[in-house]
Amino acid sequence: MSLKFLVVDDSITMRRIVANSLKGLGYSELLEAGDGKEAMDVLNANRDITFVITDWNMPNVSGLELVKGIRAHATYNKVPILMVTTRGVKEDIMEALAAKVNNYVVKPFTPAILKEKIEQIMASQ
Amino acid sequence: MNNGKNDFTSLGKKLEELKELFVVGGKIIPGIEKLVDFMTEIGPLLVNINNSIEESNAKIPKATDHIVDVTSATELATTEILDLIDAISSNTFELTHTFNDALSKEGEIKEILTELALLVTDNSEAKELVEKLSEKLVLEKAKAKTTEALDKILMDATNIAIALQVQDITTQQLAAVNHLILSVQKKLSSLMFDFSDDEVKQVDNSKGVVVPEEGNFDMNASFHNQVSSQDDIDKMIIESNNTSQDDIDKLFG
Repeated sequence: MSLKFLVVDDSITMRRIVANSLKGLGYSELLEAGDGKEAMDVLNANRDITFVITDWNMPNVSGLELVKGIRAHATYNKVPILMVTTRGVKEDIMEALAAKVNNYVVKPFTPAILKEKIEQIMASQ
Repeated sequence: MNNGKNDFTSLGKKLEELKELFVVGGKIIPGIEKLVDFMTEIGPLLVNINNSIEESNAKIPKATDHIVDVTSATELATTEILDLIDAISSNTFELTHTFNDALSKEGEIKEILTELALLVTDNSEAKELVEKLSEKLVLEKAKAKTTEALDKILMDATNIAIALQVQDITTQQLAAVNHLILSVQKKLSSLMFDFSDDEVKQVDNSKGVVVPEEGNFDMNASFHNQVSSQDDIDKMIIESNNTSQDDIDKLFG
């Protein structure tokens, strides 16, 4: 299945690393956003986005708020979400899962881990 | 007559009370003198403390500016490194493609030489030349080593890119430090306000440093072993699949 990604991170470096990893995995269709607010705008303008990869700590609207916003949205509440973040404590992971992220990757990650998580999520859809 | 006697008695009492007051005063005065001495000594000290706080407070914007500069510089440097990695990867892909093309052409040449060898079986000189030419075709032999080297370059480039995630992690750590410094500045400003009747001096924020709000960064961000960390998280996720919503809710009080 061809996927169209939205990569959300306030760090230009991280967006580029995630985007390069996705391209290396053969995924060429992707859009980027610098925070949760921008991500919602991109989602509203591109209803064909099929996968969201988001950071947690971001200005304006955080990744967690973005997840909650997506899950509460009538149109794209079923879009798979992978959270990629530095936050690795149990409470954070449980909070993200409670907000209904599909999976959780801690930074620094490898392209292999990214591939594994994307495939796991898509297999469970 | 009686009135005059009463007046004297009353006067005597008042004098007695006054005497007692003098006695008490005599005892208190050295204490008050010591207090005045102490206040005289502590006054300049308080002024010094206030000046020192003011000085430290004035240095804080410089410190936060430096941190913002470091963050910007590392981001710029990281972008440049990523540009180089992209160029290395692109060149390596091109080199791999060129090598594979040359390998394919060498295969065609080998086929032609095999056909030629069949045509010149009765010409020993020509046969020898064909054999010599065949020996010069070495790409097939070099294929394994070349492919391995090119794959290693690509792998190294990927690993460098992965390591550059440290930039995001250090940015978050620096943001946490900036947040702490600015919290200290707030406290120092309030101390200055307590000590001084003057208005608290506004700190020069020439670079318009954006105060990192809590929540924009992870105070505990660290660059640890990615595999073990992800393994730990995967275990937590598996455990959480066996956890009820009530259990999750309990974690958040």
